[in-house]
Amino acid sequence: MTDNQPTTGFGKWNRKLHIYVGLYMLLFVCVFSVSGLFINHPKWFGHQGQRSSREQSVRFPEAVSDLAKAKDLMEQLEISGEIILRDQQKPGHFAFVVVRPNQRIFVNIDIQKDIAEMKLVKAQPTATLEILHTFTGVRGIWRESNPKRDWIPTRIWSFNMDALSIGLIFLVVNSLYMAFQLKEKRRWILITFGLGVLACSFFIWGLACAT
Amino acid sequence: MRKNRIISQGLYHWTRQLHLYFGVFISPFILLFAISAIPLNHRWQPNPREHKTSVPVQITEGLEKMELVNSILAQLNLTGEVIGRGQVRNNQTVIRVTRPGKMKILTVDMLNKKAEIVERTFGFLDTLRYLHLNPGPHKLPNWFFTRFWGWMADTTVYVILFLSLSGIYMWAVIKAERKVGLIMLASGCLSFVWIVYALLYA
Repeated sequence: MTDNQPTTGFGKWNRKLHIYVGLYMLLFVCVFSVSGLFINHPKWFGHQGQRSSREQSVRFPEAVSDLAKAKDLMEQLEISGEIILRDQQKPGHFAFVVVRPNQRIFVNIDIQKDIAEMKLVKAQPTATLEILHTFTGVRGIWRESNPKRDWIPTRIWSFNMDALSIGLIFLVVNSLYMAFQLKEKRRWILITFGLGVLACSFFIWGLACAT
Repeated sequence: MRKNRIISQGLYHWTRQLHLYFGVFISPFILLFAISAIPLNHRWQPNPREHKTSVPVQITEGLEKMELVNSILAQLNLTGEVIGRGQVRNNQTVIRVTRPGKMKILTVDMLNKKAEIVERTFGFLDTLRYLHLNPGPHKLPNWFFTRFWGWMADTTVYVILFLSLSGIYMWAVIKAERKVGLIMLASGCLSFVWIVYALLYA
């Protein structure tokens, strides 16, 4: 059943690594693939989030930086997530957004009254999947002037995204090596690979001059 | 018994062939998405070269919105993904025409009948980044090649899912790799569930 497979040396380990790395990344790859498909087809699912709001009294912190203030307030409000800070604040107010893939909390503090108004938007499961796909903690669309990953799960998720990219590059290189080892199929593999490269090059370079 | 064996050998053979050739064909596209994910993850800003020109345009009376946009683009012989609906503010309308590696921003002065064109040319990584982000969720593509790229991106997903399933099937057949493979699969799933749980509920 397993013809043409190397039994010793580099080829053997290359094949083993292909199986092991592929299996380890399987769920990550499937989730990123399916969520990418959903992102390309916004009409497939409606994204009506569930909205609610509440108010809570807080003690406005004396911290120096806006990030430290937001963290202190989040502790008092018992919420956690990636913090998005606004560059401009309304006088007498301090506002920020706390983001997780499945929810956004818009926090607005009335500094004089020491009251926090929180507007919560809960995302649907498909929207959550799409947000996971893009949840880097430093998205341009969030319009933070000095974006930082300030929540540990965001940092881990972002590290996973890098690891997945590197893992995929490894899998491609290692599978091409294995494919070109199959001497009797080399010609057809070269043709198939050439067609793939041509098609991909058309989109990368060809479209710059297409009419 | 023998018939079953022939069927399963045939299934294995064809799965292996399809895994091989589909994988080889789609590999440049997988590389495109994997490489471009890194600058997107770290928000590396594009660094385009800019070139400015100014050209006269004819503004036909009574044209507005998309008719106005199409008329201007036809005069300048520009095609691509068009962003801008011809809304006029302060006697100006801004139209962006994008394609992988290039963007033209037209600021049309309706009174003086001229268009200032800023042409941005992007490098290789920025082009990959553009392709990774398009068509995207925010607007339906209006250029044929953007739609075509969208189909190709979808095909990449379907092929990746096929490669995953066929890969599992072929791994399951190899008895010697079953134990380590199961450990790898379980640890991958566990680490995924753990981090997603932390992101959603912790």
